[in-house]
Amino acid sequence: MKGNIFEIQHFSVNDGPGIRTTVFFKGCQLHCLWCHNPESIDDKPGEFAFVASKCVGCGSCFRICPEGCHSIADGKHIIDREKCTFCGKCVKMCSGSALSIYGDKGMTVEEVMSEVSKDRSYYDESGGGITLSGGEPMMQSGFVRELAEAACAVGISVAIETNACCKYSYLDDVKNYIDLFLVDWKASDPAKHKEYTGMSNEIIYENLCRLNDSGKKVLLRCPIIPGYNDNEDHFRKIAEITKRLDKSIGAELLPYHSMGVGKIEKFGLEDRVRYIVAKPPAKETVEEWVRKCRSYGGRMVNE
Amino acid sequence: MTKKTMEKRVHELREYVEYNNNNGVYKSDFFRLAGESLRETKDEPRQLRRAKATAHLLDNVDLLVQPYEVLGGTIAGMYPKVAMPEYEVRKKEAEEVILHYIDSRTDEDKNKSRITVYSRIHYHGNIDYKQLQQIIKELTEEMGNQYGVTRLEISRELEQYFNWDFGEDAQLVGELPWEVSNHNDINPPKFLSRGLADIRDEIRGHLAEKDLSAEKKEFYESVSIVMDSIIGFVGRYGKTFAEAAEKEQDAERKQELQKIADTLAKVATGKPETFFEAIQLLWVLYVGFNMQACAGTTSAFSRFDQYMLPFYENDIKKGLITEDEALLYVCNLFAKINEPKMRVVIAMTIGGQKPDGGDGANEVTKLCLKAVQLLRQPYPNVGARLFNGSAEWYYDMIVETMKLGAGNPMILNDEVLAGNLFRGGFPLEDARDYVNVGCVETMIMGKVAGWLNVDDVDYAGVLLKVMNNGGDTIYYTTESCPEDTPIFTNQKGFSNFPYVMPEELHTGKLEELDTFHKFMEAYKLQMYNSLSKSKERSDICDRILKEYWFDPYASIFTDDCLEKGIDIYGGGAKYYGMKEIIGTGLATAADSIAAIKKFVYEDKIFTLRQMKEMMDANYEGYENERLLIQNQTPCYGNGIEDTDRIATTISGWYFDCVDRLNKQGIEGFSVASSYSYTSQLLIGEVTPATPNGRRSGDTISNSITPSHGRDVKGPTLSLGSVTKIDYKGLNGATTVNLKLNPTLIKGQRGSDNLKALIKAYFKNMGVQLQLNIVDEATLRDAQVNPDEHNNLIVRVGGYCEYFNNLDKKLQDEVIAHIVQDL
Repeated sequence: MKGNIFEIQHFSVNDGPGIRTTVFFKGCQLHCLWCHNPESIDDKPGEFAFVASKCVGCGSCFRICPEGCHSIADGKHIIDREKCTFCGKCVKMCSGSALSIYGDKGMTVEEVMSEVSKDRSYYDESGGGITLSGGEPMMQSGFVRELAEAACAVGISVAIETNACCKYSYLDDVKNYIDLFLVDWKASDPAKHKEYTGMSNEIIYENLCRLNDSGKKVLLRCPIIPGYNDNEDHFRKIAEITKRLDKSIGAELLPYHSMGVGKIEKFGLEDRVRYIVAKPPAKETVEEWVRKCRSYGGRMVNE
Repeated sequence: MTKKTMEKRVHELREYVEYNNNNGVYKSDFFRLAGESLRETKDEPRQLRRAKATAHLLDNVDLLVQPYEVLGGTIAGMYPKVAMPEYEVRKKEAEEVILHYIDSRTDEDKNKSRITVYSRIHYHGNIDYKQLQQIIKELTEEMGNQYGVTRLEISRELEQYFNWDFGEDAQLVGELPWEVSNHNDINPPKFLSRGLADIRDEIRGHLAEKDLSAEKKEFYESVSIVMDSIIGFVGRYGKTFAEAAEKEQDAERKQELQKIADTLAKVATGKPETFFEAIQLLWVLYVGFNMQACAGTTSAFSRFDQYMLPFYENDIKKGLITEDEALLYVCNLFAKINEPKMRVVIAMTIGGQKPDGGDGANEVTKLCLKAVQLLRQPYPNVGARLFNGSAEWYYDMIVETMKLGAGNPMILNDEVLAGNLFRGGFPLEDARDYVNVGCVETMIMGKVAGWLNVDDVDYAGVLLKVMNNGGDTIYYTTESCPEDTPIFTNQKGFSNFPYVMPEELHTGKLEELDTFHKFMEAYKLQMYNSLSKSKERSDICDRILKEYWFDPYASIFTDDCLEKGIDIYGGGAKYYGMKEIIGTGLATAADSIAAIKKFVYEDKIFTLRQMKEMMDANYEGYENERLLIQNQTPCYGNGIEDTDRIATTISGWYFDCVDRLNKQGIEGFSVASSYSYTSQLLIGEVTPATPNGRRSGDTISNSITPSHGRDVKGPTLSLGSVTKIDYKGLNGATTVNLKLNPTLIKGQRGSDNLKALIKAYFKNMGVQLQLNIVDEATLRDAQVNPDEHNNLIVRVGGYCEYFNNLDKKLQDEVIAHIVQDL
């Protein structure tokens, strides 16, 4: 079995405890307006990336591409991603390393394990491990299970970052191999949740409760997007959930950042993904949000 | 004394020291004094002349009392401040120097090395450092294009020009030659536990022995002369403070000065009994030691926390001192190490395993780390030793101190460093007493003659030899000169060695190297050839040491010299000396070979000949190709097995050469050293373009650290590549620079992760680690607005320095190293 994996990032320090390596799965059933990994939403294997600022204009890609993907219009380097077969010839000859391909081939469990094992000693010392993220890893729950089992077998701790927007049986199937569930709570009003992400949140709430009640460790992660979900009701609900999830670590507010927007252009996603551009909140605003959640009795992990 | 008063006092002293560093030009009195004595002793034996001149220096040097100090003594008396002409006058002078150079230069001159880089600490010039940098900047702008003269040429010429000329005195000193035990300590445990009179009496006892050979008699006479002067020096300093106390109006200050005076009077002969007496004696003996060197010497305080602990514990037990008082004295010591002209790369070692195997981290270790935190100055260069049994509090304190971003401390791995000395034949208890000296040179406290450079290999230079079939390439090596050149020490304290050079070796025309295997074989042969004369060089080194070099000051204190009756350099020290063979630019070479492997042998995009043509053209007209190579080469530092294997292979050959030297029956212990100090810049300036897309003149990689900006997968994989290098082969000095974005290690969580990073790296047998925790924006701003960043310290080779004190090119290099953050 191969996993549709598009990136593996070493020394991740924000997705679970300690020093971690994050394995990014491709494909997601939600399409959150503020997604910071928009290239991972589509489940087609392979994304072609172009960073215009790195292009040195050497022209190698024009000459070498057998499909004629590269062209210039109005002085701009245009890439016809539809035609691209991921042969990789242009990437190899790109002088500025402006071109790259992510996740076209898929990876076996052994390949992923070989890459993540390089940092084994750092996980051991820091209480870290690997985090399965995405995209939505549970879209490939079979691979998640195999990978998590393999990691467990060699004593590498596994965390999963999931939207938990799936049948509980899938979560139930993998949960024994996973030490920590990082689950997003994106909007409290089901209608709003559907509007922002494409699906309702009832099933997520139910899964959160069931994971908690089964004794699994959960961290609730709440992206807060100014103008979308930075409201009292949402903060109150977050606080309530932390009370309901009595075995959880608590909740963490994640203030919006605009890194995802740059990726829209890099991966040519303008026509494939809905997205918004918001202004990242000030530090004081974030502190105020956290304070509010705490005032409602929320258990918050933010510093 | 309250904590607040203590901190205020520390702050005042620190500001005073830094003011003196930033203002004024100093002229050494060393040559005048040494010359006076050497002129009078012309017909006497070299050893006695050296001793008498040392005594003359100590007897006559001006002794100063500085404001704010509660620890008495300064080197400033040897280096009086002198008034200099205005900026415009000096600039005019500089312009004429450059115009004259332009008229007379040859093509060969253009790319000549700078030999030493002007960062202020090593600068013995007669011009204000900042002024010189400003002149270099302005002249490069004004004359660069007009005359086709580069910044390298301008800075090199001016750095050579703006020096004091000590004339005949310098000639006398040079001819002796005047060598000082460099990169060494003076064995503090010995004089602190015995006191000076006891050591003097031992010397006198030896002198009175019957049937002394002429050699021994000369040695004992020499050390006796110097010992008397050392005692005289400490006593005279005591009197100086007594006079100052007499004149002082402020009652509190008067008391402080009197305390210093009384203490110095006591320890001039007597055994120190309290923490203060011990640290006071320690400091003045190091001041004296550095005064008797032409240009300071990188002396080390070694295991300060070990030898000071008994005094501290005793004082605390008896209620003679509070923790804050002790901290004030330690801060005084640290701040004063940063005084102008004292501030050569002075090291100190803390923590680590004790000779009996226990954990050495103690209450004095804490004081040292607190002092680093309070002062945030570049020196002492603190090496925090760690081993598997180090206490958690010690790790925590190290991490918190490192996170302040002042570059200190660096950390050293006992498991590797003590282990390597033990494997090299040193007894376990001595191996466990290793210290870092200068940057990271590994020695044993109080027992070694010194750190001697006998040979070096530039990994990238070896590659260029292969590309040129062994032919004539600019290839950096230790300055060499004909064998009949007279032995001489220059004004900067450097001695020449009549070194022998390897003969040219032809390893094949490029067309003959038609497989990667053949290419690597050629590299191997060139590597072995370039180090084929190490034995001869080592022998020459021994001859010079025995015949020409003497240091009675160091011989008095270093273990076994007095017992054997032989100078430290003549074989008197318990251990003869570390003979380093330096290997520089590993990553530049590994990346270059990886590029050749990929582009020539695997993808066949270029032929080896084409690679050579691009290099010869310095990639001019080949910018796209250069970028392709630079960006698409799988570089060392990313956990890529293939490239890491290249690095381990070529470093393995080098380690083998070093090991071979040990097996050839040399005196001393040959060690492989991969640290750079500033040589990555110096060698880089004269190294032509390399196959990894590096242009001619750019810096080469630093020690065993990955090339700037080429390790792009984060610190764990970067360190992962580094720990693949055979730590047993790396038995000398090594530095590994790691930049960390401050955001990655913020808060308690960041501290925990940093601690874990260190622990895992050391468990993987990483040798050493030094951090630069600062973001690019801050450094860029510091280049534009230096005055707003006077306190910004960065790690360079194996040492720390204020960012503002670095040559522009070194600044750029530090930035290049930092911008690679993910």
